[in-house]
Amino acid sequence: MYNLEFIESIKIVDDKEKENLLKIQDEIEKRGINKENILALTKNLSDNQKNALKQLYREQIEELNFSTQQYKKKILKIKSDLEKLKKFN
Amino acid sequence: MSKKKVTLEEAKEILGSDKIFYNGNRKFNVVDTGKYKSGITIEIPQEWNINKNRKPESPINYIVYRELTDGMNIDFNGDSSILLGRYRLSKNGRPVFEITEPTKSKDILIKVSWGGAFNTTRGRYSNYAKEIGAEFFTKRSSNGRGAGNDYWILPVDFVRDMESRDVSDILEDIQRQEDEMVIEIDDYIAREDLEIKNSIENKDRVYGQIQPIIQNIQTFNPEFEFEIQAESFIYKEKKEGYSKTRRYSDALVSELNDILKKEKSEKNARDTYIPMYQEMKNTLSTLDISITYNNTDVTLTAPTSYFDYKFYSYSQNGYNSFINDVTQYQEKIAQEQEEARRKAEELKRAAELKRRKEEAKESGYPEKFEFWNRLGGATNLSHAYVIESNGMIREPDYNNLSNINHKYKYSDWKNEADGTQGYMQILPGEIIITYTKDYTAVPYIFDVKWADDEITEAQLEVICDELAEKASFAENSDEQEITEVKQWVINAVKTKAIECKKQLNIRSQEQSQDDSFVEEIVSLAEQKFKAKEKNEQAGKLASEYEEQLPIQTNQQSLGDD
Repeated sequence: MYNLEFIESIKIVDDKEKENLLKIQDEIEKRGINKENILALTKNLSDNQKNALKQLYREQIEELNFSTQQYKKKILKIKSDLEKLKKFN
Repeated sequence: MSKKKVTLEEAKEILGSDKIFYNGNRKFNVVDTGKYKSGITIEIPQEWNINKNRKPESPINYIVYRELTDGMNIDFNGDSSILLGRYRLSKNGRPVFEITEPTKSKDILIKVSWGGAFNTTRGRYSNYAKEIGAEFFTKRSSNGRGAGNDYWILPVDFVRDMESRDVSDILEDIQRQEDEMVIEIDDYIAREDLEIKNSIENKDRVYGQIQPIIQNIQTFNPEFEFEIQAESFIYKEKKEGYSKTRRYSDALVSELNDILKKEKSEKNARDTYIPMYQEMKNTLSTLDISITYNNTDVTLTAPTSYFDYKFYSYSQNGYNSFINDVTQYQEKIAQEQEEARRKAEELKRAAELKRRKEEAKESGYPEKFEFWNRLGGATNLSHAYVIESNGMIREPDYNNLSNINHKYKYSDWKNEADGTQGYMQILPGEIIITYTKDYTAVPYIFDVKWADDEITEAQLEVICDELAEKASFAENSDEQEITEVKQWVINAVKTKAIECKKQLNIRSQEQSQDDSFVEEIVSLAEQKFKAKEKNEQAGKLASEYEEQLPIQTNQQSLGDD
């Protein structure tokens, strides 16, 4: 017998709400970030959806900042390796 | 009879063709070729009649003589003209038509022009001509077959389906007309020769008489010029652009005397009236009109075509017309300017109204208001007043009135017919008051549907006037009897204004929340955009550094991450 709970847990479930918000974000970037475009694209959102959109932006910004920090660390590490190689040679 | 023997070169020049040959028999053969031409050879004499200008005239001269062609009993289906002569075939079998004097002619060459713009005739075809028994027939047409000429050669006395007829009278008549024309030209030339002879003889005497006259004319009109020639005297007026040639005679002296009188009189008129016209200089200048003083009149040029083809003589009548026209033009320009100003104001008002409507919409004022309208009858009466703050009752923006026939029966159909009336975008300061009455025995019910502030004096006055008649027995929507309309209106508007303001405040708060959400999203989207940019730059830089590492170290470095 399969463990049904496990199977359920690995299923990819479409998060339609999130997809919708991502589409809105894409459209905002395509049309240009300004009040008129944002008002037109978000006027039909409920309060919950509005909060979710804000939250989505915050998470994305955090992820991007984290990724940038990682790149910075990587660059410092490579720089240090290159220095060591120079001294060794 | 004045005839001239023309050379081959002269004949070619006059007929505009190179295909002319001397046939050795004191005659020319003209090959009649070109667009719409017959293509046959026309034989003409070498001696041609001369015209009034003493120039030889081509004998190939088609004439219209309906009596001759109509009598042939043929419908040519076009306009016919003829040459008279004799038809034969050349040694080579080519058609030749020799032009002869009318009375000596045996045949007739008929040219039938057909087609062209607005002309439905199309001539005839060769089988028709053959059936009739034409000696010769050819059809010459344009590429589109829309216009062309038919050429027929028939015996001069031909009659379709009948024995030949006697046309000697007709030919004699044509001959007579031709002879008369020659005589007339001869007479004309003889008269002219005599005039020239007399003119040369009279020249010195007449010139002596006209010299002082000319000098006088030139003092009154410097544009008058003259030229002395051996046979003639030419005078011209440069400004008016005419030129006349006269023989030296007493008639010339008399004519110049008349001109002198005329010039003198015109000069006097100019001296009298030009200063009067000049007094209007400033008015004309403000109207951008330029004035030209001619010999006998003045003309005006304006930016419009108003004064085109008008001229004003140097006379009281001319001057009066001038003043009248300039005044009318001035009024016309003023009207046009006023119209332009009015249109500009209308546009400005429309723009202002549009702005107010947008502001009102933004602030949450009702975008649409509809109400049942029935003013006459015993049941279901109902009407709404939308009144601006200045007391003006607004016209409905649309009417969905059911009984559309009313609009043909009554001029005031909007108020007579039943149906819905609608108003788009209620503006700040406007109030909406309604009444209804279900049937005769029940009271009018008054209601205030919208008000955003206290009622103005103007609004109060209008609405009290409108409702006064209905107020003898009225209630408000809570079935409270209304005894004092004015007081009821003031209070009802006050109460409604509080309610409406609340709606506007809620709307305003919602708007403010929306604004704050939008501003926050703008900020977040910009932050995301910048973070994404930085991330991409850092990624690119990291890749560049990675490429500088030796392969092993590179892998090691990646492994460390």
